[in-house]
Amino acid sequence: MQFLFQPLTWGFLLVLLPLLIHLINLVRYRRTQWAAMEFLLESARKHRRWVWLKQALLIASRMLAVAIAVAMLAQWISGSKWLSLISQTTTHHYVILDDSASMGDTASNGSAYKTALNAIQSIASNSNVQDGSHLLTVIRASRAAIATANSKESKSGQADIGSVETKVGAAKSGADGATTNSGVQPTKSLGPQADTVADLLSRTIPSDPTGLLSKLNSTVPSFLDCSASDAIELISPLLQQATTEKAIVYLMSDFRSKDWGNATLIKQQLQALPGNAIDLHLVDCVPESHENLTVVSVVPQQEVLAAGVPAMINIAIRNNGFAPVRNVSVRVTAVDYGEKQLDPKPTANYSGIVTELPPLLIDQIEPGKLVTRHVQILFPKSGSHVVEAQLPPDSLLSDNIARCVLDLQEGIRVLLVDGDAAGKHSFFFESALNPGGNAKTGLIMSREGPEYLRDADVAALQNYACIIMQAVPSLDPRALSNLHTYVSRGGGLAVFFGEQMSMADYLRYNSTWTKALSGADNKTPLMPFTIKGAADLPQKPGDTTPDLIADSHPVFDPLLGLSNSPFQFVRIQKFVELDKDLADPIANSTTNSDVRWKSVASLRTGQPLLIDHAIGDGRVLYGLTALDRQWTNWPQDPTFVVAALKMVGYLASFRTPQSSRYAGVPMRWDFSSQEMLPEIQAFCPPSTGTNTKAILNINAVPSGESSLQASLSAGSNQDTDDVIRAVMASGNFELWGTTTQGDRVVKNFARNTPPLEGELMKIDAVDLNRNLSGIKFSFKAADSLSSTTSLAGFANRNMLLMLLLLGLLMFEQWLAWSASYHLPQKQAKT
Amino acid sequence: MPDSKEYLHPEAIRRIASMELRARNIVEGFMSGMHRSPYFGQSVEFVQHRQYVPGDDLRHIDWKVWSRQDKLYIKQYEEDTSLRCTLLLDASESMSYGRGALNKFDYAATLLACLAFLTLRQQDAVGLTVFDQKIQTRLPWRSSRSHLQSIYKALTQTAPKNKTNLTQVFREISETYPKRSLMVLASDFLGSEQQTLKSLASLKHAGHDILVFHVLDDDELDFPFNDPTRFEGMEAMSDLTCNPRALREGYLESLQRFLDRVRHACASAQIDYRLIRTSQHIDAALTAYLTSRMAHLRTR
Repeated sequence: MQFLFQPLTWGFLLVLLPLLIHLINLVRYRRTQWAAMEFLLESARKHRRWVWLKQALLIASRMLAVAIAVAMLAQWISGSKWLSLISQTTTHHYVILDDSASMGDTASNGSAYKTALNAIQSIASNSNVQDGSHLLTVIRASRAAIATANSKESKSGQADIGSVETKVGAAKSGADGATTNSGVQPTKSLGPQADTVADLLSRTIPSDPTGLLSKLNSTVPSFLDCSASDAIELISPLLQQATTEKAIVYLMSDFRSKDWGNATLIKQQLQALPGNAIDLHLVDCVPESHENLTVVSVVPQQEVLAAGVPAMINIAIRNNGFAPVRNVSVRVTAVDYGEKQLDPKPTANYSGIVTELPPLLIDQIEPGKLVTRHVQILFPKSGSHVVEAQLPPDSLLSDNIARCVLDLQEGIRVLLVDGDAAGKHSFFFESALNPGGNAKTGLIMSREGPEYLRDADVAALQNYACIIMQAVPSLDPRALSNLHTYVSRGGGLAVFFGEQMSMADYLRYNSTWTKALSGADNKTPLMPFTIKGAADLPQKPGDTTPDLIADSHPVFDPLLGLSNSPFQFVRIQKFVELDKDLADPIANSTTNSDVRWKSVASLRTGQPLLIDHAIGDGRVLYGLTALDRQWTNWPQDPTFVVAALKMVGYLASFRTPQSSRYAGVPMRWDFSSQEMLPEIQAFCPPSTGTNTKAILNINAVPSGESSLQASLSAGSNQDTDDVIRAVMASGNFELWGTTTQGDRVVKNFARNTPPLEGELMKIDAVDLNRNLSGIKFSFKAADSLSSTTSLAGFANRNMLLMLLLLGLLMFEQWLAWSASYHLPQKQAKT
Repeated sequence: MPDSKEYLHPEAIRRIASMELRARNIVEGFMSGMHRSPYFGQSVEFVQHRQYVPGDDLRHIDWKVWSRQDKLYIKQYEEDTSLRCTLLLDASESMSYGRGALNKFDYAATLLACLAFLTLRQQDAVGLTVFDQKIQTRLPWRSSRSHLQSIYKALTQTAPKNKTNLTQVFREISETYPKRSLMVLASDFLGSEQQTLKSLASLKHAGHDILVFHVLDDDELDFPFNDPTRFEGMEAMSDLTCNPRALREGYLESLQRFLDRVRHACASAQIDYRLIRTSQHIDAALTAYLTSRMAHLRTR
């Protein structure tokens, strides 16, 4: 039994008052001499039991009346369904506020988010005219998503940026190829506490709720693609704990098809909500679907980007409306951060030199279709440059703009390790990757002997985007360890064999490369197969099947899709044959998830020719042939140049920072402590409607022997709402540091609104009912909440309690009269 | 001129300390209210004529004088003094109860004093017996005016105490007053009710005309107590602490049955019975007395 005004429960001691008065009266009697005693004694004998019973009932009724009066004053809260009819109940309004980016839709009067805030205001106002006490809890979906992601990240201990992106729901499948490549599944863990996330938690609604809601009313939609599931998960424990409350859950959203078309998770969560007495209201804040254009992605086309090398930028626009859109103009802006004398500009979108490129004109975009256009941009100097694409304003502004960051260096360093001291095996790669003349690939070659891998430390190896190893007969264990660590940390390694390698060399590979290295964090061996030895590819005259058959893979993708195989002139005489037992990765794995290597190119006979093997964050490509004329003529084929460039790009891509991520994804800048000071200033994108950037100071923390790491993420308990809002914004984040020489250095991070938020197609009520079948809910428009009239006069529980008390007092009076406690009317007059 | 009835109110009576003055005031007030001569009654010996005044009994008009003088005169006779009136006053402890102007004993004493005064005025003989469980005071019949002082003194000096035992008392009374007489009993009948009624019946059989004034206090008839009270029984009855309101109904029922029994017993024995409240005007008792006196004279 609970009471709203707990101190008043001391009043229950007053229950003893009638009993006390009765006892006092028994003691404080008057004395009188009485003559007609025999009649009195006769009456006493006759009515003794009945008098006692009535007196006991009378005292009990008076005690009960006092108890009811005290309970009424103390606002009795009863969890019982039946007792709640007479007891005072607390109604707890749980509002889950969808503040995903699509809630910024301004197609109707004001934004959908503003409509939702007005609906909350209406709920608070209406509660004031209703009976009982009312509590309000408001949780924004974005805050719940951030907290849940952070909680799971800390529990799993995997500080993987991509996984965070997955958890906040940003990394949904889309056309953006720059999304996460991590397959880490979110781990089941205890979620965050609602008290650290909720904007309002169990707050009593005052008579004037304006003050209570003022802070909430100042919020704006986030730039995230977040569903309500995390918020539902947060309020579930609250609902379980508050068994004495009447819970009303409001889910305020725009109910887009993308979120509610397949609401299995939310359905399960809603079904798992405790208690049968929960009223669930789905409040629709957007009246109808409408057209919208979205910048889906702005990404560089090629993996290898360098200063002075023209960069092809793919800009993808999707028509999310119902009708074709014609003459779409896309404004493209290039921001050059190559100048050495740049200073941060707190009031400008970009501190770099902004160059407006000729706008892209798209004649027509069919409804639901994606159109990609390319823009060639040349940044002559290295730096963290930005390319921005912007559509004309429409109802949803946040998806009209996207940008990417091109962290250009003077060149991409590639290490060629040649088994031959003269480097004869590297000739073809060197020719392909650096043809010379005016053709600039942006790649800087270095050729070393196998001993370099042994002598150099991992940090030195990490200066190379990728390592290409050819005809190396054997490696020192330290070199193997260095290579393994390099690959595990995201490096790329290509291994080709050579014509001079003997069977003993292959056996050495089998014995050393296929074992997990002791002391290494990652136990995946460098080579997942064993080599049988060199073999000749049998020639079959008249067979038109190319010797090299490529599968879909980033290395070969540009060469695929043609009517004829581009490899029809490629001849392979010899290759390195694998041990049959281990040749088929699928057959040799217990589950498909064990397979971390696959054949991406094979011979005419089906035997693998190029194997992609994942170790940690990096990749190893095994070319099971020698780039030698005796073995194959592929290096002399034009396709080799393309494949070599793509191979370098592919291998380098695992350590190349992504050009753009979705809003909310944490930012991390690793730099050398010997080159830069740890104090970093982060200039966050300005808030909507302002030009002033939020400036956050970050102290970089050591991340290695001589490296520092500056992180910018939201969601820690110490973060204020302003910090969270700044960090979770969509736009360009400039992280400014200072070199030990005193020069300012900037590192840009592009954070875009998830393009799925631009899909404004709404789910209709019928589909919603079908998707949430089995759940009792009401689906209503947000506007209807403000017009809800309360039946305060009729449903006044206090009045009911008062009537009950009145009835009890009348019963008490009747009982007292019945017990002859009242004088007859005639006698009373005399 | 004050209303003569005012002198009959117990509150007014209480203010008069002297029993003699009380009786005179009450009787004169009562008789003047009746508009008839208080001093002359129906007798056989003519005394004088007196001019008729309105209110005089038409039966006493001397029509012969009227025929001669054409004036109305009434004949006045010497009162017959052969009536013997015996006043019996219960002085048991229960008679001392009363929260009003007069307790039961005072009321009954005053009433009997009035009757004595009235009786002696009419030249009748009056005797008085005051008793509780035995006779405390006994005054023989006398018709002299000086006897009145003895009666007043006996009524004033007696204090109610002890229990009631009317059986023994009435046996002695029968022996004391052997001749037929009009016996007026003032009692509350609390105590040995059955024996009292039997004794009364035996007195009736002995030839006495009996007028019973059953004097009860308002409290006893209405039981108006509200607060928790400890009732301490008089005449050696046990005590009772109770909420009087809870027992009121049963008490009144029991009392009513008692009154019905007394009334029924008196009616059976042809005894005149009057229930008198101590708050009641005393004239009702006097009227009842005069009615009984007339009936007694007719039956003699």
